[in-house]
Amino acid sequence: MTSTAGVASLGGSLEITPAGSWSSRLRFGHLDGKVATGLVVLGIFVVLAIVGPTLAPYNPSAGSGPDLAPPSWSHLLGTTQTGQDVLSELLVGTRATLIVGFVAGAISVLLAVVVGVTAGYMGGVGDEVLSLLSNVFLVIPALPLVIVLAGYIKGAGTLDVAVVIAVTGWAFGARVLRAQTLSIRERDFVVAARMRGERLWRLVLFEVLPNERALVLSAFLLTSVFAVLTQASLAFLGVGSISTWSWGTMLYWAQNAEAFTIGAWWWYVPPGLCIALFGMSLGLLNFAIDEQLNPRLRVLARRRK
Amino acid sequence: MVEPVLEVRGLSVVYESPGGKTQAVSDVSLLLGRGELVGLAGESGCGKSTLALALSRLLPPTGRVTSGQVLFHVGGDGETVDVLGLSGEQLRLFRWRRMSMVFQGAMNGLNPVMVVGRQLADAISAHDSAVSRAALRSRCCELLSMVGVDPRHVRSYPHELSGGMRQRVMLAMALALEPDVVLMDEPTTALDVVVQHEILDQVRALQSELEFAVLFITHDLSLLLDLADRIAVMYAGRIVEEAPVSEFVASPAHPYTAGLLGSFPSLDGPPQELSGIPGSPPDLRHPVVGCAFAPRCPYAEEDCRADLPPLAALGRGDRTASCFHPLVLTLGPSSHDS
Repeated sequence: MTSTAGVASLGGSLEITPAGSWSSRLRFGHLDGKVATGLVVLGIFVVLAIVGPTLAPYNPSAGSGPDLAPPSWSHLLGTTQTGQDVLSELLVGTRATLIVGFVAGAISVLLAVVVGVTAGYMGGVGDEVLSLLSNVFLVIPALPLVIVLAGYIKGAGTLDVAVVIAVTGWAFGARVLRAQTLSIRERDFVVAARMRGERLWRLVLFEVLPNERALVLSAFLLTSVFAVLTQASLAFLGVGSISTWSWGTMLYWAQNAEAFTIGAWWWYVPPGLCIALFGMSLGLLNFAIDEQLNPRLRVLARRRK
Repeated sequence: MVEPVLEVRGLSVVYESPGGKTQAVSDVSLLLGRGELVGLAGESGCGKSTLALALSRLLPPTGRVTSGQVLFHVGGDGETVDVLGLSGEQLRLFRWRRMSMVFQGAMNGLNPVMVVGRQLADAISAHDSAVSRAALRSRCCELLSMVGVDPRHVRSYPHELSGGMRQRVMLAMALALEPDVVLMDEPTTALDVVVQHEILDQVRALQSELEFAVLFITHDLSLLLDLADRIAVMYAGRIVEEAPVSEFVASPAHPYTAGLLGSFPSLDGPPQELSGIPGSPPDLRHPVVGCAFAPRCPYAEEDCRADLPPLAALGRGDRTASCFHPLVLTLGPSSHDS
C-alpha cells in the first residue's frame, strides 16, 4: 500500500493522472515482464554461446545418424541430408552468431558515437564532412556492400564479417546521435558547464554523452540484431566462410539441400527460430533501456526513502 | 563611487546571418562597482542577454564583438584583465573563479542525468583538481545550505527538486568559487512571484555577506526597484538611461523609462492609469537613424529623428540619459544646482 502511495506522489512528473496511479504500477509490472522475458531469452543464448560446443552431443560436421531423419530421442532436432545432427550444429553455431552480432554492434556503435557526437558538437565544416560521410553510408545499400567487402577479403572469418557489417551499419546511429548532440549542446547546462571552465573532453564525456546513454545502448541492441540478420543473409548467400557453423550457414546448407521442398522442417526451422528469438529478446530489452537510464523514470523502479 | 570591478567600454555586438547584420548591442558602457548590484532592464530583443553573453565570452559563432573593451579589475594591486583578449586556458581559469553566471532556465540549467552534488563538485574541481573528495563533498553541502537548500539534496537529481530549489542550486553553483562578479540573466523569470522574492532576498543577503557584484538582467523593471543599487535601461541595443535606484523611481528622465515605469501598477501609491508604450521596437537589422525610441516617443521632435542623442550626464553626474528632451531635468550639471 505504501508503494502505491509512493507511485501516486510521483504521478506528476510522469504525467500520469492521480486516478491512474494504480494502473501505472500495473503498466510498469507489465513492462517488467517484457524485460524479464528478453533477459531470460538473451541469457539462454549467451549461456549456449559459451558452453554450447561442449553440450553438443555429436560432432556437427560429421555424419552421426541416418540421413534426413526427423527429430527422435537420439537426434532431438533430427539430422541433415548428410546425417549431421541439427541440434549439435545449432549449439555450435550459436557462438559465432552471437560474436558477430555483439562485436559488430559494439564496433558500429563506437563509430556512431565518435562520428555522430563529434559532428554534432563540432558543427561547421567538420559537421558537414562527417554528415556527408554518414549520408553516403546510409544510402549505399548495406547488403550488396557487405557482399562485395566480404567477398573481397579472402576466406573471411567470423571477426572479419563482424567488422565488415559494423563498417556498413554505423551510419544510422551516427545520424541519430548527431541530432541529439545538436540539441543537447545548446541546453543551458552545457553552456553553463562550458562557462564553468569544464574542459572539452569533459563536456562531451560527462555532460553530453550521459544524456545519450539510452540512444547509444538502443543503437547497440538494434545494430546487433541487424548484424545477426546480415550475417545470416551473407551465410545464406554463401559469402564468407561457409565451413564455420552459424545459424546462417545452417540455413545455407538447408537451402542447398532443398530442405524446404522436401519438407525437412527440423532442419531450417530451429536456426530461423533462433534468429527470430534473438532479435525479439534484444527488442524487448530495448523497452527497459530508457526506464533504467533515465533517472526520472528510474525512481519508479528503485524506491527511495 | 565604489571601486569598479567590471568595466564595459563602448561595447558593440553584431550578429551576422545570411539575411544580413543585426546590430544587437551598440556602444554600451557600464560600470559595475565591487559589491554593487546593478540592474539592467529592457524589453525582449533589446540586447541585454547578448550583452551578458559578450561579457562572459559565450556569444554564438554568428555573434561578434565589433568594438569596445571589457575590463575586469582584480582587487587590491590594481591589476586589470582584458576579458575580451583572454583565450584558451586563461579564459577557462578566469570564468567562474572571477565571473560566474546564473542562467535563465531553471529547467535546463542543470544536467538531468547527474546528481546535483556531482555538478557542484565538478564546478569546483574544474578549477582546482587537488581538492579531495571529502572536502568537495562537505563544500557542496555547505554551498547548498548557504542558499537555503537541505544538504541532503546533494544526492538528488534535478527533476526531484522544485523550480525554486533548482534555481537556488544554480545560485550555489555560481557562488562555488566565490567570484567577484555574478551575471544573472533573468534568473527568476520562470518562477512565481513568491519564490522569486524569496530567492532575490537570498541573493541580497548572500551579496552583503560575500560581497560579490551582480549584474542583474531582467525585463521586469519593477523587480529591480527593490533590488538594485543602480539601474540601467536598454533600448534597441543602447543604454538610454542609468541612475541610482532612488532617483530613478522618483523622476525618470528618458521617456522610454517613464513609459516602462508607467506600464505596471505600484503596490503602495495611489491608483493610477497604466499607460504602456504604443508601437514596437525597431528592427535592428536596419541601421537606426536618430533616437531609436523617437517613433514611439510622445515627446519626440525633429532633432530626435535626425541625430542620436548622446548619453549625457544629468544633474550631479551620477545619472545619465540619452535624450534631447529629458523629462525632469535639462541637460548639463549647471542647470541642476537648485
